Amino acid sequence: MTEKELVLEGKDAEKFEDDFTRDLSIEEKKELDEAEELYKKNCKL
Amino acid sequence: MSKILEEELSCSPFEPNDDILKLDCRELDGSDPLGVHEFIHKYAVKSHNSRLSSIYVVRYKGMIVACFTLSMFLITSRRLTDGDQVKDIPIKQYPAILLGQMCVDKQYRSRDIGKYICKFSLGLAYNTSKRVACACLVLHTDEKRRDYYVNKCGFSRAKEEPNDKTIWLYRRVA
Repeated sequence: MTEKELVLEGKDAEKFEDDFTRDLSIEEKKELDEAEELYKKNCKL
Repeated sequence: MSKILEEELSCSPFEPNDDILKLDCRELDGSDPLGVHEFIHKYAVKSHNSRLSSIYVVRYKGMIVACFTLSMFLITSRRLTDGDQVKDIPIKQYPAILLGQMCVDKQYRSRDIGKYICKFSLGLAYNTSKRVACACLVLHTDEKRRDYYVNKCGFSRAKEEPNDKTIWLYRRVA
């Protein structure tokens, strides 16, 4: 069955946490907006 | 084989009359390295009904060509390993959504349906994050698909699992 948690340690944790200290780039934000648009448009909820 | 455009695909939550058992999720050689085929055929509906994971189906020209699951997930991050844990280093936890058990039917592979699923799931995770805490979308796959998800779908590496040659990837939504 599917696991519900991932544990990161050591360098993996360091790299992951460091990535979350930066602001998302304009390009990343644009991609999120486009992805949300696709989700809203296509998902017949 | 030609790519299928986003506009030609649609995605919706699983309904009881959606026949996902017709999907062939195995590799071309018949193997099922990530256990997706087995999951879809044996456990998916039960898991969906008990809300352990939610199945979504992807349609192309009215036919179900792929499915995947989304579920709540947690990433726990410890900068030091257990034995080295010190009081000053806090354990951080990041709520996430797991994109799991992704199955694109054998006949429809290499047509960018995986990219569509990733984009849709990213949009859902981002939309959700505005109402329920969610820091990223997580994907667990095998090493051979790593480049596709990193280069075409914008995921980053979180952790490798050398024992089964799988890799955890993530994409920030906040």
